Amino acid sequence: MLSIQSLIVNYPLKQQPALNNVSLELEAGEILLLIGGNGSGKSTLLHCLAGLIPGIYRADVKGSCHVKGLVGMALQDSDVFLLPTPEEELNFILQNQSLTSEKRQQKMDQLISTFHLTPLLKRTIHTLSGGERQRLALAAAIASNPVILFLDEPLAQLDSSFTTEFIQLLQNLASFGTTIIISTTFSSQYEPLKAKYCWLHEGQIVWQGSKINFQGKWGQARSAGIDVDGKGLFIRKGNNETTYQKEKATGAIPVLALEDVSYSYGDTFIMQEVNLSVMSGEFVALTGPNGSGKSTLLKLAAGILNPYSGTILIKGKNIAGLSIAEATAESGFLFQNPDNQIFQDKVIKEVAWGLKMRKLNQELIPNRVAKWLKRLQMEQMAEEHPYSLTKTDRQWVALAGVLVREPSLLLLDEPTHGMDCASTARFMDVIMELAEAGTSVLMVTHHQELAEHYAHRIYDLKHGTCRQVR
Amino acid sequence: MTEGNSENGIMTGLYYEGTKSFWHRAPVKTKLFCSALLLLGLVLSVNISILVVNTLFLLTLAVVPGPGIALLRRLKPFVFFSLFIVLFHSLLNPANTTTWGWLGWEGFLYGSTVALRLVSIVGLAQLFLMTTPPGVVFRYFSSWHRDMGLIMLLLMGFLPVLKEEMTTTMQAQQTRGLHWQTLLERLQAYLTMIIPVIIKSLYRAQGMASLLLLRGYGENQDVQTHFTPAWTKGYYWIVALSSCFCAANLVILLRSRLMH
Repeated sequence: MLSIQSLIVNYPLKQQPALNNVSLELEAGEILLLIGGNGSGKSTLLHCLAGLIPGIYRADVKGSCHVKGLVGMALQDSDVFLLPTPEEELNFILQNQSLTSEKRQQKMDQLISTFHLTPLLKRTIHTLSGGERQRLALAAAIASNPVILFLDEPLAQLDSSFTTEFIQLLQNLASFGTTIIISTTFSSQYEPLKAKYCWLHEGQIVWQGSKINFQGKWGQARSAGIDVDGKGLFIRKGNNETTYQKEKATGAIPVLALEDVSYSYGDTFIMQEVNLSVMSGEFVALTGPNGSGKSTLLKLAAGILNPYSGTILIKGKNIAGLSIAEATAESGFLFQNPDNQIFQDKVIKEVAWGLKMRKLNQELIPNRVAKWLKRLQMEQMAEEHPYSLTKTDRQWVALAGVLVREPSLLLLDEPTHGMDCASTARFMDVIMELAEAGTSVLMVTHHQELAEHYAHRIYDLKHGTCRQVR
Repeated sequence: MTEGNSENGIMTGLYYEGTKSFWHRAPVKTKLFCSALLLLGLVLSVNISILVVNTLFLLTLAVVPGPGIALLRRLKPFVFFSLFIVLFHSLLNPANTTTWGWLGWEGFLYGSTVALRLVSIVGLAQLFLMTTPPGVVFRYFSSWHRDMGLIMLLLMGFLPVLKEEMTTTMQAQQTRGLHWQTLLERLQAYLTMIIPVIIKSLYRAQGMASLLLLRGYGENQDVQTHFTPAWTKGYYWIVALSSCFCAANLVILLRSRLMH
């Protein structure tokens, strides 16, 4: 079905090969779980198998790579699509198959019900939430009835309820003879799947075998950034004893307060009369199903969007009518995609830019930047071009750009998206340290366990209402 | 700022579903043919006063039987850009001899010509895109060439995404403290937005190329349903009107040339 012999892939301008002497064989109906940390070469391997390297991405390829049969694939970057609406996107794929119109309609209906797409069909794809887009990307991958399926971190951003259904679906597809390769850094999420395990590290296959034998390798895998048992993110123990409880008792002013905030897109209300507060030194997580408006709430808190009604107070000051720059004088906002903001040619300049814009004394800037690069263990990349770094490293650059201002409130939108376990744990470590030192944090995440482990309090946003669940 | 955001939320692509106007009902072939004639007439405009009349005529023809105010709203950013062009030429055009304070008359005329043409052309393009559903554009252009329809469709899907990316990037930079008061600061602000948007677009283009390959585009040559749009009765008058517009401009042009 699929065979690779001593595959070597070199990207231009990179010293190390992305894949080094990889060999792999798979039969029809087999599922392979390709495990590895950020930068281990998982995506490169899938791109090679799907014919995207060297066809679309430039790289030097040696060795042989044979794939027999129609390929379906979900890319890691699920925010890229071809057409404006989910309906058109799926239709486009079906039209490229030689199907009768009844067959096409039948397949369409089947995809819609399997992936719960009915409410999304006519919407514009770029207005969908991350999880909704991921569902569509998965539907698109299997729409053409491929016999070989490549999925790059398919459970990213998915609701846990749908995750279970999707794993069952994969198992069914495999039993009908589809060969599936899934790449992930969170192997524990695929526990129910009957799969072969293959561990990739720095471009090489370091271990292959069954799920049970993999348990013997857990220690090593964990240190390579893989989440083997669902506990890898929780190296640090969350600390619930903080100053905020005392402050609450003394009636101190919250750093962030949303009072009866409603917000609407056109005629539809996204949220109604939401109340939420974050005290100083408190880490609050905001969870909720895909598309419930978590990011919208965060944008309201930053003054990027204006509420339909209600007030938003930062340190007791109403931010209504302020410009975005003024409204975020006390807060730092980290967008999900670091590429929204990176524009300088050196990491150090990129990090310093926010301070320049905030008119910090010129002489203080280099010291401040150096301090934060050191604290985030980024000194060695200071002089690099941000776009020569991996996406995870760019996420750190964006974070450094926010933290360097030392804001008293941090607004984080799915900050650990796409990070492997080691990076996520390191990230949370930094955030928790800041919280202990008095910074308030409001973090949007779909990652329930992460929220439960670290957050002092959790709000859940569902069907437009927000309630505190812990 | 806020207004831009709320509009983003409702905007679904370039097609405007608000009304089923005359232009919405007109066949795509008629629309393209009329647009071509009107455009030709515009290019033939001989001097600024005729260009002003032509622009007003074109915009009225686009707005009144078309999407109405919504179209004008979409022209807003281009109007600002046009005003900038006029100001730029009035101040800096080397041909300025008749000056009025800081402003030069020749540059003003030249700038206005460019600006009016820009607004008219963008207006016609918007009219076509706002009143033609993407599916129809796809089928029609596919009947010219197999890939043409897809190119149009990808472009139409990409433009709103681009707009969204610009908004998001602008917001991201503003949360980092970006603000502007002077013209120079404003130009610098554009730079902080343009670079991330271009880089993201390159990444996106690579992703889209991957998806075309993965989604089996080009594997079946015979699947596109060919469709030959017909001329429909009841739309002849608009073709006639466009032809008259074009012819009138041509006559004026020839007459002015003969008189010299």
